[in-house]
Amino acid sequence: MSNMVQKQGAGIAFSHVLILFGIAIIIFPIYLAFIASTHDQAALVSPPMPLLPGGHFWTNYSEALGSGVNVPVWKMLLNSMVMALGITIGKIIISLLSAFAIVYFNFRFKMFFFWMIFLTLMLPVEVRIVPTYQVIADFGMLNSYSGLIFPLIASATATFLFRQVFMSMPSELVEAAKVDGAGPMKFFWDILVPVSKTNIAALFVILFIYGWNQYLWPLLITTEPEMNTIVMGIKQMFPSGDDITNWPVIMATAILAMLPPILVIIFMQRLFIKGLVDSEK
Amino acid sequence: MSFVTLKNINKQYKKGVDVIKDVSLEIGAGEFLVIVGPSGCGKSTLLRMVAGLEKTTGGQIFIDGRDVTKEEPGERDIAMVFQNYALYPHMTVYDNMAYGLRNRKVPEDEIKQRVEDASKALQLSEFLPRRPSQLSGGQRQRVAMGRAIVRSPKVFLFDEPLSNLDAKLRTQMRVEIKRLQRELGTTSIYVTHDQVEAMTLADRLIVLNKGNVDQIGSPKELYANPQTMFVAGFLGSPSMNFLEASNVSRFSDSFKQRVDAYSQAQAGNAIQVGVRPEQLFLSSEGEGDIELDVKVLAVEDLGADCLVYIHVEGLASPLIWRAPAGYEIELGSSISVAASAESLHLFDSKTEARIEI
Repeated sequence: MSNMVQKQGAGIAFSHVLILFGIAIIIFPIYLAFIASTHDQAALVSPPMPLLPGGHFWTNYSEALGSGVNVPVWKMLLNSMVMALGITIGKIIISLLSAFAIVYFNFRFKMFFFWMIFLTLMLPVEVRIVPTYQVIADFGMLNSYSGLIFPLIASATATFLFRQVFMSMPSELVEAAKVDGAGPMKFFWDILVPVSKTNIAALFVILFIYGWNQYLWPLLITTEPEMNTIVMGIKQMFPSGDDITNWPVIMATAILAMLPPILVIIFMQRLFIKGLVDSEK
Repeated sequence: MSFVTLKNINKQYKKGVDVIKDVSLEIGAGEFLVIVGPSGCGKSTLLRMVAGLEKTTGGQIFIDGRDVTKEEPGERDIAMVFQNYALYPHMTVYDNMAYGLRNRKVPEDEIKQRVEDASKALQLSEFLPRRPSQLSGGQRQRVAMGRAIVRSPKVFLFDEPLSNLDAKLRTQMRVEIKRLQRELGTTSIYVTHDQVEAMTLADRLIVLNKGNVDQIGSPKELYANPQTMFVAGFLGSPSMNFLEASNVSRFSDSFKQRVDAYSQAQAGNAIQVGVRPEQLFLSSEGEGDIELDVKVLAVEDLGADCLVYIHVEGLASPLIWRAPAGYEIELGSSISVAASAESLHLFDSKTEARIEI
């Protein structure tokens, strides 16, 4: 096995070629999108397609951000941001609390609730989307942030993750806190949450991207362009009839849509690596 | 200074599985009580019930005469030191010590004063801004002690606090705990399976055996007059040698008469003879009240003295004789060891209780 890990000479060159090739395959469409967002419509639609940046970067991006096709992109970015943050923070709070309840409290039907949460793992959003839509519609939450956020907040996965984290903590920690006169919620805030901060950071990244990339649900419950989120909004930019497709602006929007998740990864990665380095559990 | 009273404390985990059986005891103000016993004897459970971390199945616990049986640990005004320290990993040493005081709404400048006093007493002053992960095991243990001290609670509870330390540090901390407890005069309950810790720390010692209190008394008393075979075997290192009267090679006439008289009176109950390794001596024919013809199996030279493992005909496990320093003998050779009647501990084989004859 060791010679699979440590290669020399030609082996090194080969693995580099392989990885560069892989990266190229992944990067190329993104590169194309970026190139397309720097040309005007005329240059794009006349073959061959340009492979080098053009001079319309500022005009395309300011058009996308300022007016867009149906609705300004800044508005959709804002909607997406509110939804993604709402889902992420909501999920973290709910799953922290439910894991706390499951691990540290004994109550009637504890195992029943535990298995109920577990069961929801097996049901993807698509399976329950029609009844969920009905519920949200009855609550009058269509075209609202609450409607975008609430149905996606409950999370069995995150609950399980925190359950495992809490169960790995020494039971003496709870007992020391009890002796120190901390009630359950005080223990939760003063000790459990700070000690799990690295896990929270890691989960934040995953959940933010999950929330940001939601497509089907926003598509169903937002009918006003004002409430479009960016990921579904890109699709809405394509004209339905014979209108001209505004490729440069759509591509600029696509590039803009990728930025927030990337920023979150970069920012949170630093935070949770730092957390891992002085982890002292 | 506070006193603690346990009244008929019971603990059952499942129906029929008794962990603690009807334990009643009084712990006087300022007393250092050590609960000792082998693992699984329920000693930690008993301590945790006093702390309130474990519910009692029956009985009552009083601190200063106040019934605390149903109270939460935080309401009992006790402080506990855990075996694995249980420091809050994300807090500095200072915050670790201050946490319990903050929860009790002690003003911040008083907290500062108390933490500084405690850390001075424990030589922790320079470590106050550090995290527990940056401390050594001994320092962490001292922080755990500090966390208990700053609270100035009614009772200190120690749950095998030294078990995670190496031997040298353990001895140091043992002395330090004793000194601190004397200075503060706080009533303390200390659980350990280590009989050296138990003997050295305790004002009073409780030997717990399968959830029953076998004997309570000062370490000296328990060592000199163990009331059961269990206590006799548990205290002292190396532990007491046991043999049946029938294994003894020769009795002195007077002692033989007393043994026979007991056996007759008790309808043939055998007598277990207990003798501590240091009470045996090398004998020539006719010395001592009991004499054993034995074979030397092994000699361990400890420097200050030697432990000689000797085989007695008819006994499965070897006895230990603590021989004087520098004792040398060929392995396998036959010798005789003896002990006088005053140094023997006699027990009834059936009841395992101490008998006087």
